[in-house]
Amino acid sequence: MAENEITIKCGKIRMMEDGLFHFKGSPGYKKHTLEDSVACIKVCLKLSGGKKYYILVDVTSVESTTKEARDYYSGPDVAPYCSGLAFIVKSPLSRVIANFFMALNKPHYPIKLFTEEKKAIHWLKQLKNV
Amino acid sequence: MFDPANKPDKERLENILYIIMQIASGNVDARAVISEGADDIDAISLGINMLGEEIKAMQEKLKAEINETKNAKEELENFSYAVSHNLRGPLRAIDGYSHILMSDYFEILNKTGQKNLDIIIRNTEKMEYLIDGLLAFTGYGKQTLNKVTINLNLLVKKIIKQLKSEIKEAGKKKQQTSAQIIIFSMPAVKADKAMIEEVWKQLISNALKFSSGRTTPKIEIGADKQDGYIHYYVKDNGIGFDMKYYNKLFGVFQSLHSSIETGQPGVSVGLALAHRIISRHGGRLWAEGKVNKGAIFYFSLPDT
Repeated sequence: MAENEITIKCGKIRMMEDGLFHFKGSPGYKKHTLEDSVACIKVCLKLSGGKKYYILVDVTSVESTTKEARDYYSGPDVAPYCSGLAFIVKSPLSRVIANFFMALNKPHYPIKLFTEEKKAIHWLKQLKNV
Repeated sequence: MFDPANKPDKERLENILYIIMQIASGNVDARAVISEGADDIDAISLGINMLGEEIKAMQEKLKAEINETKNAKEELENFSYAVSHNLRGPLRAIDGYSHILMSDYFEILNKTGQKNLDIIIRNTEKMEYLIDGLLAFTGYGKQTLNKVTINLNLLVKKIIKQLKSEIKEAGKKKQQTSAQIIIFSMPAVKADKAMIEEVWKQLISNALKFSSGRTTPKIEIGADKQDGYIHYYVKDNGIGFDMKYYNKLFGVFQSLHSSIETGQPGVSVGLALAHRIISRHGGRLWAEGKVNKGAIFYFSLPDT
C-alpha cells in the first residue's frame, strides 16, 4: 500500500482524500530551517510521485523561519512542482511569516492566506480543477 | 522562567524601537526578543527580525557585487592599457612609413594617391591621439596620489603660458589678436600636482577649443569656497552645449560636437580624464551649458 502520510522532524505531511497535501507543523517545533524545507519538499515529491501537487500549510505552531528556508520554498526546487499553496494562519506570528514569504520571496505559484481550513481546501480544489 | 511577555507593553515596544535603531545604524545582526506568548507585539518583533535578515542578505549580495565590479573594472583597465600600449608599435611603423612615402614619393603619386596618403597620415595622428588619451585615462586611474599644497594661481598662469599658441589660434578665426583670459585669485589646494595640472589643461583647452569661433573669445577662471570644498570654475562664451546630452560629456571617446563645428577631432578623452582625476581626489566635476551661450565647467576639491 502506498504511503499517504509521512512524519518528519518539523511536521507531518499527508495526502488527503481529494489528492491535496496537508502539512501541519509539529507542536513545540518553532523554528523552520533550510534543512526542514528540504525535508518537506522531499516528502511532497515522494507522495506525489514527482508530479505537481497542491498543498495546505498550517504554520500556526511555527514561530520563525530562516531566510534560507524561505528562499528555498520560492526557488527552483519547489516552483516547478508546487501548483498552489494555501497558508493557514491562526496566530499573529504565522501571519507575519506567511505575509513575508508572499511579499519578499514572491514564489511563482498561486498562494493565498486563510484562517479557515475549509475555505483553504475549497480554494485549492478550485485551482486543481481549473 | 523569564519571559519578555511578562514585561509591560511599553517596555517591549521600547525594546523593538531600540532594535530598529540598531538595524538602522548598521547593526544588521540585532534581533528583537520573541516571547512565549507569541502575541501581536511578538509578531512585530518577528517582522523586524525578518527584515533584518533580508537587509543583511542584501548587504552581503551588494558587497559581493561591488567586489565583482571592482575586479572586472581592474581587468578591463589592464586590458585596455595592454592593448593601447601594444598598438603603439605598429602605429609608429605606419606613421613612419607614411612620412617616408610623403617625403620621398609624394611627387610621383597621382592626385588620388596623394589624397589617400594624406588621409592615412591624418588618421594615424588621430589614432595616436586616441591611444595617448586612453593610456593617460587608464594610467591616472591606477597611479598613487601624491598630494602636495598647490598654488593654483601660479599653476594656471603656467598652463596659460604653455597654451599660448592655442590662445592666439582661438582669436585668429575672427581676426582677433588672441582670446581674452581673466583669472581671479584662487585658494591653494592639497592635491596631486601633475594630475590637477592635467585637469586645468583639459578644461582650459576645452574652453579655448569651443570658443574659438567667437568674435571675442573670453574665458574666466576662478574659485569660491563652499561647505568644506573649494569650487573651481572655467567659464567660456563659446558654442556651449545642450544639457540634454549632458550624460555624454564625461564619457571616454565621447564628444558633443563634431569636427565640422570645431575643426577638432570628434572624439576625446580629455573630459573623461579630468572627471576621473577629480573623482579620485574625492571631488566632483560637472558642467552647465546652453547652446551658443557658452559653458561653465566646475570642479570641487576638499578644502583640507
